[in-house]
Amino acid sequence: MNDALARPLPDAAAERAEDAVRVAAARRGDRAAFEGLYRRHAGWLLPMLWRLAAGDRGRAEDWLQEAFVQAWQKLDQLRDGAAFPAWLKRLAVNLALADQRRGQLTLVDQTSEQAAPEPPWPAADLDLERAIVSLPERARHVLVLFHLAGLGHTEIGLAMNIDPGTSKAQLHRARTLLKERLA
Amino acid sequence: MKSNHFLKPLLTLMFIMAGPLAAETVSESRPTNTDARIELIAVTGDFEIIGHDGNSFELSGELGEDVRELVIDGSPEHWKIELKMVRNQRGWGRKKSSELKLLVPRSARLEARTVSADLELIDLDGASIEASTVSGDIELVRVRPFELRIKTVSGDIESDGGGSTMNRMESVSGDLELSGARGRVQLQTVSGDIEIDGTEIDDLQAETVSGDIEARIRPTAEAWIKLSAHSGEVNLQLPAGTELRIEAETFSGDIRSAFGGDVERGRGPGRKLRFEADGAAIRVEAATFSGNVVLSEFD
Amino acid sequence: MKIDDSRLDPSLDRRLAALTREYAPDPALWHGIEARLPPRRRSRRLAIAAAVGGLALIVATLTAQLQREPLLDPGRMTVDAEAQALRALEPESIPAAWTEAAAGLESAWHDNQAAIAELEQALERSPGNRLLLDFLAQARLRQARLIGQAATRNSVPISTERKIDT
Repeated sequence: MNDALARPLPDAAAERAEDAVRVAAARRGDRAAFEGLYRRHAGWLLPMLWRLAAGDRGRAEDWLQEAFVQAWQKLDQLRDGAAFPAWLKRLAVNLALADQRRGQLTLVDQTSEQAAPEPPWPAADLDLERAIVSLPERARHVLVLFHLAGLGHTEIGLAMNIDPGTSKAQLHRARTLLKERLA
Repeated sequence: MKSNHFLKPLLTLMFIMAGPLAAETVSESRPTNTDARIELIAVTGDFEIIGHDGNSFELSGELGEDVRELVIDGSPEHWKIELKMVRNQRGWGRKKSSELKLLVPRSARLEARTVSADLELIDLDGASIEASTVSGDIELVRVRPFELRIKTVSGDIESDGGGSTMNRMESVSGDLELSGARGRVQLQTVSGDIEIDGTEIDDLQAETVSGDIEARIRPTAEAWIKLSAHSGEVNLQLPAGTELRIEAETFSGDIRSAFGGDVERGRGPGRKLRFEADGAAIRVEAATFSGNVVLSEFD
Repeated sequence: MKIDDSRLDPSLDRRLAALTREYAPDPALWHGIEARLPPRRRSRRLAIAAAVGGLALIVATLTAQLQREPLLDPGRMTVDAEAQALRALEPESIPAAWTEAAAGLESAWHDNQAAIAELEQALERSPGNRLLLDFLAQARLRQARLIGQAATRNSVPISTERKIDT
């Protein structure tokens, strides 16, 4: 990095700048720099993936690993290193959704007879966590991507190959089901 | 002082002129510490950066038609001036580019990073000056920072009347011309020529492949001079009577020296000159592949 | 602002907002990732140059008695920072500058390649010649630098001289 600035950057700006430096180094094959990116961003990615995976920890961790391996391979496609987090999120969401589409036939009714999974972290709201993972797949995906991944309906539509209107409808359905199950 | 902490946020000014600027006139000024760090980032244009005795920077001139926005950000300790380009434009080379004059405190630390801009730096003597461009030329006039680093790819670098303690100039295909040099100097180019005259030189390294090296040097008592060219000529002039330790070598060129010693020819190709005057502490190493090495005197 | 039906049930939104969003994964996961990371793909010419540069470094170390300082790259950190700044200038919109720089790089490349060819021919006639080996090592390193500049389009010369000590 260049010399420390006389005027301190806001935290978010400093983090973006650090990401950009690490991405640049990782592009040159610097694995330690890439590990730095992992340590900064894996922590927020895993909870999102766990919920997309309906509480299947092994699957969520597989997605997490695959996301970072793909990120390493595709770093040259990322023009602005400071945008690494958003880019990683899109990459992880796309591979998670694609993997679930491929396994769809085997996942039908999988959760109906099993005990509700618990998250690997100490859950402050275990009822809500269980309710989310028990939602039907499309409704769960939309809810997680909207409320927890911060995506808008247009982005969700692109990721899930559905209309933004369908995304809104699925979100409404998810919220209604959650309220019923939490009541 | 607490008042400084209070004032810093007030003096932190973010200034953005946005939108297509279409050859707009600029006149901006900001309070600036005399030893402030000032960054200028641009892609194209002609820029004059001049040191003055004021406590401010002043930017004036015309922004080019290819400039999307001018961003000025920072505080009196550190200013960043950036000309952001219009995105995805075609026919870029035909648009009028910026012509700007930037006055800065002469003791400021300056970093100018451009792509195809020409830079002229005048009357600067801060702690460090760094200037880089890809295809533009860089000219320095009376620029004497403690540390000077200048880089181009295809542009030429010319410095007149300067003389930093630490000088580093690099180009790929451009020529390097340095007069009034002093201190420690590193000059590197591939296809270009190197020309340097200097006094109180402690350390000089110059390297080129196909260009020539012309050096006229008054070295300090324990100076080290190392010159290397592949096919170019190496011509080093030193004050008459300078006592030297010489190691000169060429594969297929000639060696001539006015400072003593005999040129040896080995069994195979190549010529060498190794000579050490009594008590000599100034060291000269010169090497070429096919160019000549000439060590001569001046009065 | 996202439009949703949170106005209808703010309590659900509060609970959703309070969900855990950060949890450090099992450290073993990184090792699994690391083991799967392939070597970063580089242009074929750059890979060749890297291999050649490595050979040149080996040659250079064998002639180290002619070098007063080890072959360091003291300007690399500054150059890398500068390269990032240049990338931020969106080089895609400035073909003219890169054309000029490319011409300069091509000229330098041609000169350096010619030098390498001459040196190699000379080494065939005078194998083990220390001066030639020295020049060849410098030329190979220069070759790797020029390829790196052309491949990354940073086009900022990289210093490999010995460090200037303050």
